[in-house]
Amino acid sequence: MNPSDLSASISNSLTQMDTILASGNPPFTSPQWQQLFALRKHLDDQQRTLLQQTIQSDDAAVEQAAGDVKTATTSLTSAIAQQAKIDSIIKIVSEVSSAVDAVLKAL
Amino acid sequence: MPDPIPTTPAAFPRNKRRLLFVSAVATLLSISGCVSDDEVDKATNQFVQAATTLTHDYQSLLANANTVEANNYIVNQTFAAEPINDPGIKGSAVLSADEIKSRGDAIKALTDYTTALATLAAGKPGDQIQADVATASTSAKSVTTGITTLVVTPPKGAKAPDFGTPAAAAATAIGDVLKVIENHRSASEIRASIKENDAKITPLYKALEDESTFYFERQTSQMRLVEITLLHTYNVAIAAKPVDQAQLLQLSDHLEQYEKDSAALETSDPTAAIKGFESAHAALVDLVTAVKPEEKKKFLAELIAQVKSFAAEVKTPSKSSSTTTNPTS
Repeated sequence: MNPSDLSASISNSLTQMDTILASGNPPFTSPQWQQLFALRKHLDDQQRTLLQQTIQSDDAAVEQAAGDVKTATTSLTSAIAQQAKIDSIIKIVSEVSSAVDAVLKAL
Repeated sequence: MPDPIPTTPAAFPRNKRRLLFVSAVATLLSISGCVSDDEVDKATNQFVQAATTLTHDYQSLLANANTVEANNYIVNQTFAAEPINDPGIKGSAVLSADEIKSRGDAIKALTDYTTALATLAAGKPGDQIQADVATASTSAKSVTTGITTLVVTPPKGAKAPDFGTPAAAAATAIGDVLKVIENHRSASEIRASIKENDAKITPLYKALEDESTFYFERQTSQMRLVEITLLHTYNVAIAAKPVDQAQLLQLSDHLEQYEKDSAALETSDPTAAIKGFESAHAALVDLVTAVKPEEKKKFLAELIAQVKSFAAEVKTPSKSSSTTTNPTS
């Protein structure tokens, strides 16, 4: 997975989270909405940090961690397509975020 | 292979230099030969115009990348009732001034190089060809200098840019072709050099396309984050007792503005135009390097089609830098 694919994976997750957050389901005042919004902001900050660092695609550790990001984002797409419960979606988004953290640590 | 034509002024008396200039012009004109001057002229003018607009659009996109990040920081801090400060605003930037400049220089070098090729294809007067070649040569040198600076002294907290390798390779290849033209080599040598070096130039288009897609998506994403923050605040505000009508009106104004900014941003993605630029570049290279008249006719038709498509993709840069959605404004 090259840096462009990694960024595209994160962008894809952000777009999917935005669709849920903007829909009002879960309600804007619910704790679940707040939780998902906090994760969305965190993932956004992580993407900015990645941008500020500029990844070198030939690093094996980065490559491995980036692969985990892709796996987690694929799970997110699948969970949303299957209309999974919001708690499961929040759990998968947390996994995406942890995988991005691993990329940042590997840099 | 013919010997190179020496160009050092001191090496020739005045009359011989005049003769040399005339022969160089003849060589350069033979690159274009046998296609309608008007058609080539029209296509190349449209091409140069579109490429110049694209350079401006691309630089706007990059400059806007930091503005949108800063705007988002301000919105987040405002709704979280957190302090806003200069280090926070500056820290949100995703591109340093040097990185923006090096990308702007790269696309300008491509524009100036293709302009020089277009001048060559159009069979313009020799002094104009030499002037365009000199401009392109200066642009290619700027890219090399900028990339070297970024690699040797990278901006704090950032590594060398991803596009450094294709940009440096393209600048070297462009410099090599221009040197052949400047040295008044034969038409066949110029054609061979253009063909040989083109494979080293095209990866830069791909790097610019990738980055353009990415920065455009990032800006769209930042805009959506602002929308979500506004939606949340509005929906919380309507549940309050009593409802603050003034606040609701203010928030709905910002949401309306967001819709306008968002629509304006959608039309400012230069990725398709960069792809159009690349296709027109390829058609131009085919035309300039073709030898047979029937090939030239075929490639001219291709160039005209590609330039039309490229010009259609080039759009006026968005005037919305999305800052109007800022609830603090």
